[in-house]
Amino acid sequence: MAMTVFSRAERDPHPLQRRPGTGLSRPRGLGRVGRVGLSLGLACWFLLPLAPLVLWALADRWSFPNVLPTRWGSTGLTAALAQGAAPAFLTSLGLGLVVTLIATPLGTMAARAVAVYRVRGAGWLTVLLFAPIALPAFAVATGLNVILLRLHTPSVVGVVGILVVYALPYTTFVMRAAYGTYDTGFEDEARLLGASRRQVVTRVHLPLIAPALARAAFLGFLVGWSDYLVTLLIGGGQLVTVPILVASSAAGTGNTAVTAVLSVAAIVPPLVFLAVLERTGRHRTREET
Amino acid sequence: MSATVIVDAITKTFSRVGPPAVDHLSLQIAGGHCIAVLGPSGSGKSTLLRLVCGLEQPDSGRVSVAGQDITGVDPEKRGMAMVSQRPLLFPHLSVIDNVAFAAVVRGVRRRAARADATQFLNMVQLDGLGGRSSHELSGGQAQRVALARALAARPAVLLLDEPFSALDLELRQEMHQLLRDIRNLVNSTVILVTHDRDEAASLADTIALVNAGRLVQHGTVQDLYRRPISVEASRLMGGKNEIPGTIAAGTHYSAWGAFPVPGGTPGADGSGILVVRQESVEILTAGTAGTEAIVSAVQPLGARQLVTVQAGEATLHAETTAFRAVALGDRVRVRIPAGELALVDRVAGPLAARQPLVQNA
Repeated sequence: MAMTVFSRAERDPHPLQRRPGTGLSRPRGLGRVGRVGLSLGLACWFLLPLAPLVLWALADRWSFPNVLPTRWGSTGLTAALAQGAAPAFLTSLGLGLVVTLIATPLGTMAARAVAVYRVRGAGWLTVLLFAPIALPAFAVATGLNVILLRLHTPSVVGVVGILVVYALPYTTFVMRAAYGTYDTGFEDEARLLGASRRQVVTRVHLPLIAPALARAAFLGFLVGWSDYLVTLLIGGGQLVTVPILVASSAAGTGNTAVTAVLSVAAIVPPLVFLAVLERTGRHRTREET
Repeated sequence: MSATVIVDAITKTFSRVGPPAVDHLSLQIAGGHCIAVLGPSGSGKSTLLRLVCGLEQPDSGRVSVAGQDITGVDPEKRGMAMVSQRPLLFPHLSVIDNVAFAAVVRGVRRRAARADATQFLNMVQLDGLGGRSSHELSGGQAQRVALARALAARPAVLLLDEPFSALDLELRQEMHQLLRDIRNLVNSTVILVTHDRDEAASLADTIALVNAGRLVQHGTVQDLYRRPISVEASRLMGGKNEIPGTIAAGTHYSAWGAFPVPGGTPGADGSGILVVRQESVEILTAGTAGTEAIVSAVQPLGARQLVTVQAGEATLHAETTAFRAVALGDRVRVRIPAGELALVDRVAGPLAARQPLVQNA
């Protein structure tokens, strides 16, 4: 005996789908195909450039017209390590973390001042905070380099200081958007329930802005991690970071595998940082609830 | 735990040019009592509440609780809790942790705090919802949780800032009953801010009428409705009838007749305004006792109706049941019970020209 197998949707259709002829019940197969196609296209657009990078990082030899490397190996990695990739990686990591550790709280305070409190001249303050984005980095770095040299400022301090200024607009922007929808009534409520000012910050304020803080911290980290120009000009060669190694390697010939290894190394930390922040945010929410 | 709250000549100004939000306002609330601070929007009633709980600092004046001046004390040390119009449940905490918040910040271990919170959730009839997120609650449930959270702090003074105004009528009535039930269980002094006269009358022992930052009148619900001390108080309580007239030898003369001055003491001659609730004015059929008048408007109010009658230039409003057959242009008799009259805004002095009198039949 033939048995008809019904899918769940057929057995238990949505109430709207039981009434043919309405706009909502019209088949949407074509739209779904379009959405999936577009998603795949976007994923390819983002991931495709990484494919040759990863392949080159693992290739000892890859000559035209071969589609894949003709000899696999770790020559690129060995050469990158020999050129100081490990300390450069740590320097970049430190720079990114220091910049984000300074720029995130500063941006948060600035955003709160502008968005929540009635600060005089909030408009001008906003313009000032966002000005670094409008100014060409080369001009700023060159101009400030002279001043910092005359002030005998250590190059590391100079680099961090300028990168913090560059990171501030991003952290402020993210936090300002968060504070735009933030309700200080929660803090008032917490205080009336007996929370001290510190408890209000740790138990109410920070958990409420945590997702925005994570986003701001990520952007701040990216500014420090990926900077090339300021580190080169102000650092005066004392700070060798991954972007500086990548640029120097890419400027030479026959370094494709080394450049690929360093480039892949430059991609990994931001992705890891993002994943950790995302996971921490989710874990915290689950724990609290 | 309850405490007497004294607000002494408190003033708060937010703008240098504008009038004060709260202007030299004094109030005393007996321990364990429920007072409704009633006033229109922008009258300063919420500011008064924030001054009492310490979220705002007064420019001058003092706030005392249980005999202690707490004007400069931080909000978290005042022993108060507040429920606002928005429930303001912490979105990163579950329902039970919201209710346990006060205990946790006091240093109680989480497990004990949650156990304590459970009894308050039960009190607001939300047993079993402790594990939910605040996003999973309806408006009424969220407001119940907010109430449970405030009660779990065991406040000496519970502040309610229009807590039910965002709820629909049925839910609001449920919450009113819940609050009455809770007041039988806990003995906090309650300060309820509202612009709803019915809510104030339904829940409070006394009403403090506030307008433009000033205290207009403070008294029992009956006093506020039947014995307003000024035209302003009468209007704020929804009174529609003001009968200006002259006073001579203990009698008030007006278009609606001669009435003995309420209160028993005749006082000096001069002028004054009689006010009477529209609910107290009686519309009678023609040929009976009362002042003759013509119906000039009938406004339906659901099961009730507001009938406007005119005797010459004088106008009076009467609220009757909607089943009372009255039509525009009807000739009726109007009776004002003398016992329901209150004399306000009395001015002593030489008698002004008497208004033409309409003779009582």
